[in-house]
Amino acid sequence: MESAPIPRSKWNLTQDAFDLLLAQLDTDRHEAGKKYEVLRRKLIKIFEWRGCSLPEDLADETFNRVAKSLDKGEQIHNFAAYCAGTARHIFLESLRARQREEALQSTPQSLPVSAEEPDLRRGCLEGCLRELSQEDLHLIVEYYQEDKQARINARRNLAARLDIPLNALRIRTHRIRVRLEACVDQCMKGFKGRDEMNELRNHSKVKESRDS
Amino acid sequence: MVQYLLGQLSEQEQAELERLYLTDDVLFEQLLAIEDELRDTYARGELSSADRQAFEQRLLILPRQKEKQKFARMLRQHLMQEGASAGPVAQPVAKWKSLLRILEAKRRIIFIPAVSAALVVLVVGSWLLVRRSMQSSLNGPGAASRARGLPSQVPKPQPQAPTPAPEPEANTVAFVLTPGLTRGGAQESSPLVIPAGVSQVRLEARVEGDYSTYEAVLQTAESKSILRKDDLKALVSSEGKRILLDVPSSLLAPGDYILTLRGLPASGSPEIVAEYAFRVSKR
Repeated sequence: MESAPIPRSKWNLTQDAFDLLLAQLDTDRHEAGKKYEVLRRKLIKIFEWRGCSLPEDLADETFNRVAKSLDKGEQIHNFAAYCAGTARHIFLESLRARQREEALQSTPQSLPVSAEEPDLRRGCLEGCLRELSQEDLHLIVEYYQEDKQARINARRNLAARLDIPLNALRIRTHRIRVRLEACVDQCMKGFKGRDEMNELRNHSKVKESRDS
Repeated sequence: MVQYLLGQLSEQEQAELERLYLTDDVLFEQLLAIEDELRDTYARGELSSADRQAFEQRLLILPRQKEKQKFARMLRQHLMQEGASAGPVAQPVAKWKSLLRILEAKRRIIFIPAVSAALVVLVVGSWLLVRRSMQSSLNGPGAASRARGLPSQVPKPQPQAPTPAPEPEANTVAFVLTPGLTRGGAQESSPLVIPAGVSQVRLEARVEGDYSTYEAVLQTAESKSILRKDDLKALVSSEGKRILLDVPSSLLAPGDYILTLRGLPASGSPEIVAEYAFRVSKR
């Protein structure tokens, strides 16, 4: 999908302005940096969940504008709410820009899929599942049961057995899933790296035979 | 939250939720987890056509979203195959075994409050009996002279004045919820039955903690949001604290629900105080 132009402010982020932004998050710069990353991730998700095509750029633009306000001397009392409001404005601007530009809906760039990828991916998943602890594996298997009623009952029982609220169980399972996804991604990158190496080797063999 | 992810909330509601999860890390992670579950629901083909369309327009656009969906589909396929050949893990456990397991796990947690509850009932019951017998003897002949010399045997009343509960509207039925996610074998077979003609259901949630205000979120077991109320105050009585939540009965279709109560401290993020699982059926 063609993306609409990012509504950018005509202002360049300075170090001083960025320092002011970090200071809003925490007096300790290291802690502020961590909170900045968390907040940036949340802003990216806001734009992603609102259906925007370049959520990272829009999140960065949000920070740019907030930093600009701070640089101008504006007093911000509720930083998170200010960021949320700024993000919302940027989203509405990008929506209007998209409508004005009448962006073409083309097939988005996606990873090339080879015929053997599903098998490779499946193999990666199996390997990654083996790396989980027995407790985590058991949790995943019980949590994601196919039958609806069995699933509901299993989740309640799991939460009771672990003595945690259902939402905590949901988050715990989500974290295991995130680790699994990252593991599968890493595994697939390994295969792609191998394919690229093989291609390079094949290419150099062809070149050698031509030269000889 | 599912409605938020599908873009089915009003602009104001979306903005409000975004403002909340920008400051609340737990809420944000919960939303991420619900996105996972929504992807699973889509993979199982369980979304309505309207929801499926909304899902495809919001959550299947970016390359990384498509990757996540591939993962969801693959995980499901793998677990289905594992489940078909699995042993006891995937088998449904008999309700009594499940109850025994829960009781075994929570033996200490259940035993102490159970004994304490029994003691409280004994003390209060005795106090009521003594009070009644005192009243009847006070009302009899010579009661005044007897009363003068009577030592105080009655336990002093609770120091906290009970908060009167607001009057419910007519055609309201009330249910008391106790915290916990399994309601035991017996309770699983006795859902909250809403009689015909009842327009409102009052949920009374027993709660502990010392927060000035609470927020209540009522969802289906599939995380579909039903009702959210902020700024709730706990009512104090001799039986403890409780939160009252009035829900139009039209919002409670037969099925499973989870009520989550979060306490709002003076500063910082809301904290989950308790969760209550219950099933609704209608007559």
